[in-house]
Amino acid sequence: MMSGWIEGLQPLGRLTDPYEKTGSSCSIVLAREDLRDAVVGLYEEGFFLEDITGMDFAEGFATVYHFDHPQEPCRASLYVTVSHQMPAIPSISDIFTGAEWHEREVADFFGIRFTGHPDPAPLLVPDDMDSPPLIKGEEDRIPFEGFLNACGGVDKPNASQLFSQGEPQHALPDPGLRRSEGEDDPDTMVINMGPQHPSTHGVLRVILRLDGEYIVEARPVIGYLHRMHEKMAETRTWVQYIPNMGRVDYLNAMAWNWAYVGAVERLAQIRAPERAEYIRVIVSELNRISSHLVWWGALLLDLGAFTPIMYGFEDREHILDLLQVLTGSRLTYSFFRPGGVAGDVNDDFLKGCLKFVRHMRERLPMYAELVTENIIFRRRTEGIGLLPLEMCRRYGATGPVVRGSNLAYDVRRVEPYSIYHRFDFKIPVDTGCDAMGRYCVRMAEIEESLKIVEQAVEQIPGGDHILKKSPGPRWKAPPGEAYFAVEGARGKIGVYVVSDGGPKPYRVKLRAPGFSNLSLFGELVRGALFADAVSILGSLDLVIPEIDR
Amino acid sequence: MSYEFHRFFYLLIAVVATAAVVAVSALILIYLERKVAGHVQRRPGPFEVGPHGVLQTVADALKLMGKQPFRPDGADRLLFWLAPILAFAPALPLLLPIPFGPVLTGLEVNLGLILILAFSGINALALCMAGWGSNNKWALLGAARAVAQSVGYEIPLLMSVLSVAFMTGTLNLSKIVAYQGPWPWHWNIFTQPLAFLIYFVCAVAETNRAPFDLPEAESELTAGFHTEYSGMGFGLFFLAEYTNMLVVCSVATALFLGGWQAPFLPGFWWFLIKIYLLLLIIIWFRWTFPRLRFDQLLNLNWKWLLPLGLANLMGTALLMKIF
Repeated sequence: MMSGWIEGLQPLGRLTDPYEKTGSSCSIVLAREDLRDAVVGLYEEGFFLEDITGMDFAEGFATVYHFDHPQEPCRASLYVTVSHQMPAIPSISDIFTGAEWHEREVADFFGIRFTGHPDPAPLLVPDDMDSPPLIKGEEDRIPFEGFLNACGGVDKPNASQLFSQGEPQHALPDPGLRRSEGEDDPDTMVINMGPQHPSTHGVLRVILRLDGEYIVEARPVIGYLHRMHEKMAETRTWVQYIPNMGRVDYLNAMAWNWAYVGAVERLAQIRAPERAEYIRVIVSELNRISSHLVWWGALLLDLGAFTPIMYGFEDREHILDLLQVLTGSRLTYSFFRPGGVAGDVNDDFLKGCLKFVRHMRERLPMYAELVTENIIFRRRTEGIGLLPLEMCRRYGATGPVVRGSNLAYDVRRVEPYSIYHRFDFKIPVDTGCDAMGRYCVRMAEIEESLKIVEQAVEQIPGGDHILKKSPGPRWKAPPGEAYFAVEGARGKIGVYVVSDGGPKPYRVKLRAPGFSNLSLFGELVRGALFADAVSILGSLDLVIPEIDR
Repeated sequence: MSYEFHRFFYLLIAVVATAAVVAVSALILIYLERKVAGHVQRRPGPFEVGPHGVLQTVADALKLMGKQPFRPDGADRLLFWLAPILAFAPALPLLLPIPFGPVLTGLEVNLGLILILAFSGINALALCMAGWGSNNKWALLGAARAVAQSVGYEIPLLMSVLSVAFMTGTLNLSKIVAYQGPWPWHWNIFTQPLAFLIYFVCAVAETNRAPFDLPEAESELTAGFHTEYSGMGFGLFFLAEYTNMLVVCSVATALFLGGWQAPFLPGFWWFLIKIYLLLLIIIWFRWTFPRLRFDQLLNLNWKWLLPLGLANLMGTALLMKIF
């Protein structure tokens, strides 16, 4: 348990609920002035930033910072409160660079200002948005104290005095677009890559400043596909929200299903039956493989090879056929339920899984022979987009991106959920830190996922696939909070839910791995060739709907 | 009838016949490309229009012709429209000096090789005009790449051609073919394998085909120099690409593969077979390889092909002097 960072801090209160109930090992309420000290401490101890989000309470806003450590599960949650009238918090983007985007998102959704932020322009919402979307009406707000009590209460009584703080000491920044150095340099050319471009995989826009073919500056612009999933959560009941999860990341819907359902189950302290957990593992791993196959084809397409995507899609078709019979959909699954899964598997499905495992094992050597060993492909990826581990941590990169930089961080292993501890599988890492490293990690992951599917199919027990009394559409969750993280195809998917005891969530925060992974793109491609930007973008494996949410 | 009139009449027929060859082979090549792509990718390719989709290209050509010629705002009117014409127009003079058979040569000139090399240089100019005239940044980047690539790859190409000319002592393609014999070990590829390799790599690069298709690199530059073209403007660039492929393969056949010389079948058929074998290889490349990066492309040229071509040329000259 890493707790050195908390020494010397004077938290206003510490939430007493244990990890099993909230998913947080250490939740403290901090005064605004202490925030940066705490974050520096966390940085020095090796934590990385998961997400920053806000909540609207009767007394004011609470901003929640989630940090996690790559070696052991010890999520640190920091609550910083500000009043509705003058919401300003010191920015931590100079400590964790990835916080820059998270803070912009919070500013978009709640109107909270971050003093000292380098680029406080809107990130996801349009520039002319008139009111922040996640601010609640007076009658809908619950008191912060009530929330704290629902989370087990705090160990110090003065936490309720939080909102009576004075004016912010820092001057508020002027919102406006950042002007960069050398912007008017006549030798450079600004070019818009996207939102309609063949290799941005959706509506991502990157503003590139080129000097010849070299990239001087790259700024991703996101939000073209922003659908405000988090607001939608507040207008639906707990179970009604599940279909949204299939639409956050269209390539990896199962992992998002799991992250949300897992958070709800943790909140309500219910456990799915054994058989359901096995089914979850099987479908999630199959989904991971299908997602990696699409990424594989798309990356090669970006590099100018047209054929691999057809091969990838051919194999992916087998997975979609299997899952279609089980779930009724081919892409946007809504298969998980709090307390189990929507349908039971039969012998045909299990046999089909084993058949697919055998088939895929025959195909993978061909993939390696045709693509991985191709000299042009190697020259286009080896040493391209060098991503040091320290930079991964500053930006909160997870998944194959960080494993490609030689850190065996996988939620399935570090913070084991469900029954993953029962399976024998490796966490592939690569020392390359380059596009090739990220490529090799994903290809090895396909093999590991096959292993897990095979073991799960062999071990699957009988029984029910869902609890007899599982939550229905009008089910009311107990008040409290819960964070649940799963390992998606693109990295760590985290869902943070807060309940006020009603039939609808009080707040749902979705932590998309692509969001953090894309935020480092600007720094990563600086000085690279334009063609390398394409292969780097491909190696990050982005799905834009997940980033924009 | 005077001799001059005879010559003129013969040339007229040759030009018309060449135009027909260009059109028909473009139709065949495009169909072939799509079918090969389909089978490489484990799908049938075009299948709906006509038996096995043979009329698909005709339908596409009709669609392209039916489209409105469209020029974006701010584009240079003269350059924008001149570029596709200029890209396609040299195709006819390029094919004229090529000996398709023992007596099937459009224009018998003793500088045929020079004629082809001179006219093929116009293509780079056309791409440059298209990129500049479109008033589009992607097109401009594509044009810059096209010029650097064409200028670079023309030099080793020239050297490999020259080494054959040194050996045969002529620039007349018919005479170069006649110099070779009917069996493969009589062909120039047997004595000049390195020159053939350099020529073929450069030819793929000169025609902007994958893996050297950087001027139109789809996943980077959207469509490169022809981003703003639609309808027949695009169609002419497309046609020019396939005609250029035909030309470089014809020249390769004449220079290195014995031209129409081969046993059993009539010469014309052999010539076609050899050309289409080379074309199939180029098509096969496209559906197999990823694209090179721009600096790698130029490095390959200046650090490998050029020195090798130079060494090969010197070696040839030396050997010719000795023996």
